[in-house]
This record gives sequence, C-alpha cells and structure tokens, in this order.
Amino acid sequence: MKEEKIIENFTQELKRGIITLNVLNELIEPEYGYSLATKLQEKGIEIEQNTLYPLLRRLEKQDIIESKWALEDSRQRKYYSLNEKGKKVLKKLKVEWKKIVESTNYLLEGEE
Amino acid sequence: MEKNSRVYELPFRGGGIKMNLIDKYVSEVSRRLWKKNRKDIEKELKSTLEDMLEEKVGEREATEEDVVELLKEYGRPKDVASSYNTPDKYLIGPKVFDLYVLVLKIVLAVILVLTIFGSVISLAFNEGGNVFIELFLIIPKIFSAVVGAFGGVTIIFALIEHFSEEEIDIRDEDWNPKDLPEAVNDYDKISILGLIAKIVLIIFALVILNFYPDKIPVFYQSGGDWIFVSALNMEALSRFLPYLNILWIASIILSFVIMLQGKWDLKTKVGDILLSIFSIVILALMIAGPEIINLQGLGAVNPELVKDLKPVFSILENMAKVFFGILIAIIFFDIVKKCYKIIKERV
Repeated sequence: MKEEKIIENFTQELKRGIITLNVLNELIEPEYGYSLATKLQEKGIEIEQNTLYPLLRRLEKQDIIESKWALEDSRQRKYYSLNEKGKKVLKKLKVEWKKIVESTNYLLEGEE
Repeated sequence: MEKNSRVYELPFRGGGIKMNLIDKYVSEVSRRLWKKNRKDIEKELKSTLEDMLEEKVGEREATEEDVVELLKEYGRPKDVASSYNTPDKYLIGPKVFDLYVLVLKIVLAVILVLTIFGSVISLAFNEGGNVFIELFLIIPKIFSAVVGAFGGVTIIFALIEHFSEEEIDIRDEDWNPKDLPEAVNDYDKISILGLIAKIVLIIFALVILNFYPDKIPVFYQSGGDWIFVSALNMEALSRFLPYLNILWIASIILSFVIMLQGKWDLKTKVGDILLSIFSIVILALMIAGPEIINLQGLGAVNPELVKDLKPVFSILENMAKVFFGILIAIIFFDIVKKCYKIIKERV
C-alpha cells in the first residue's frame, strides 16, 4: 500500500471516531440533517449523508437527541437537537475528549 | 423563475400524481426498510435529496441529468437502505415481511377452521367413543397442523428473501437511476400475489358451483370409514348462483384491470367498494332465503341415513348462516375502512 493511502486510511479512521462528538456538539442548536452536514463540512468535517442519517437515528434511539418535523419553504424538515440527557452526555464527552488530546499530545511530544 | 417552483419540486407538493426520479428512488429505498421506520425515513430522505438538488443546481432549473447525477452520488437504493437496517442478514427481511405476515394469517386461519370443522364432524358421528377423549385429541391435531403450516410458509418466504435480493439492484458500479421502477403512492399499492390468489380462488369457486355443485361433500366417519354426502340444496343454489356468477366475474375483471394498471386508482377503488356492497346483498339474501345446505336427494338413496344425519345438517345450516353473518360484518368494516382511506388521501 502506498504511503499516502495508508495515511488517508488512518486519518479517515480518526475522523470516524470523533464524528459522534462533532454531531452532538452541533446539535446544541436544532438542525435538520442537510443543514447539519453542510455546517460540519464548512468546519472541515466531511460526513456522508449515508452515514449521518443512520447515526442521527441511532442517537435518537439512545434518547440523547430528539427530533421535530417542521414545514419550511414548502418542504418537510426534521429538526434534531440535544435533549437534557444529551447535553449532559456531551459535557462529559468533552471532558473525555480533552483527556485524550492531552495524553496523546503528551505522548507525541515526548517522542519528538 | 422563483426559487421554490422548479420542475423537480413541483410533483412533491401535491403528494403526487406525477412521479419522478426522486420519488422512484425514495420508494426503492423505502421498500427495503422495516415498516416501523419507513414513513419517517422516506420523508427525511426526500427532503434531503431536494435540498441537495437545490444546492447542486443553484439558481438554474434542475434537469433530469442533474437528478440522475445526484442519485448516483447518493448511492444505490440497496446500500442506502442497508445503512439504516442494522443487521444485514435476516431470514425474512423488510421487503417481504408484510406479505409474509399476511399470508401466514390467512393460511393459519384456514388451517384452523378446516381442522376444527373436520374434527367436529367426525365427532358428531363418533359411535361409542368417549367424546371427551376425542375432544382432547383435537388439540394435538390442531397443533401439528398449525406448526406445519407455519414452518412451510416461513421456509417459502425465507427462500423468496434469499433469491430475490438482486432482482432490481444493478450490481455494477454505474447503475442508472433512470432504470428505477415507478414509485406508487402507499394507498395505491397493489399486491400482485394477493390478486392472483384471489383470481384463482374465484375461478375455482365458479367452476365448482357451476359444474360440480353435487360434488361438494360433507364428510363423516362411520365405523372407521370416511363417508361423504352431497351437502348443497340444488334448488336454493340455482336461485343464488346467477348473482354469485355476476359478482365473481366482475371481481375477476376488476382484478385484471388493477393488475394491468399496476396500481389502484379512484375508479377501481369505487368499483371494489360497489362489489363489496353487492356481495353483502347476496349474503343477506342467502341468510334470508331457502337453506343452501340440505339433504334432499340423499333420502332417496338411504332413508335411514337421513334420520341419522338430521342433527348434523341442522348444525351445518346454522353454522352456514352464522358464517355468512360474520362475512357480512367483515366486508362491512372493510368498506368503511376503504371509504375512510379514500377520504383521507384526498383531503
């Protein structure tokens, strides 16, 4: 396997690992699927629609986000947002994320 | 042109007479999903695709090519559906599950009725045996019949599931959204299998009642031998048969029309309801009129038997009337349900 390809694969994996965190963080404000994907993209996080919608359904099933249908520009849109439980989960996940970043940075810098 | 009135958005608003590629696509995804999530995912997918199309074409009008490109980008219906369905393998998947449940219900009901009916009749002629033991023996009979039917139907559907996966999906990478089959509004969907079964059953009934009415038997067991006697009163039958023939032939014609159209429309729905009303009228006449089950003619062959059979025939006569009454109730509720649906989809 080519070097670039390997790097690309690892990067993909890393991104996939934090996608839930990214999505939850965006859902502090209500968003519908497509607007959510666009916003994430603007912030440099690519997510396939095909991955996003099933993920949103899973999060809803786990009862950390809730959804509401709304009619907008003659189009039905399903708005997702964090519920109380989701907000708590996000807060704790952020702490976890910081821990991971710190320890990883510590390790990586130590190597250099 | 205004932003919200592009060619490819128009059909969505009315809920749709004019089908287009996005509808076809959504419908192809949705039929592979579990019913529970279907409506919701359908709606969300449609609005997402519309958003994406709008984003893609900007201010200009969307062409068919734009839509084709968009759908290709989004992925094959099968892949999109499987991203929603968590486990990928099942014995009987969402595509055939509804039909499976329907067929299972019908088969089990028929088996149950036949087994109980047969057992009751042999019980009535059981000489000298202990009635309670005989009654008790019906239970394992029903049990094995039901288990057998359940297994049979399940195996058939598992096979259908197993071999039907690739029917529409185009395996190669460049599948073309234009090849997608027509999407049909939920209320207008037809079940080809159901219609064929209906036509076959009606033809069967037509042939039997018109050409072999004397061959409809009542079985009973006497001294270990099965004996049968003709069960119908020919005179009563000849009175009702013309109406039944009209009803059944009209039903067959209607079923063919629906199959050729590939979907229900208002005309066929109204026709269907009219035929249901007609069948209620016939059933009511049959309850009011002369007994359809009778033992005339048997007297000539075996006068002693007539005496023996009298209680059985009177049971059967009453059972037939109760059965007709139940049928009327079922058909009536079906008519109400269908009318409600027609009104609902039009509002």
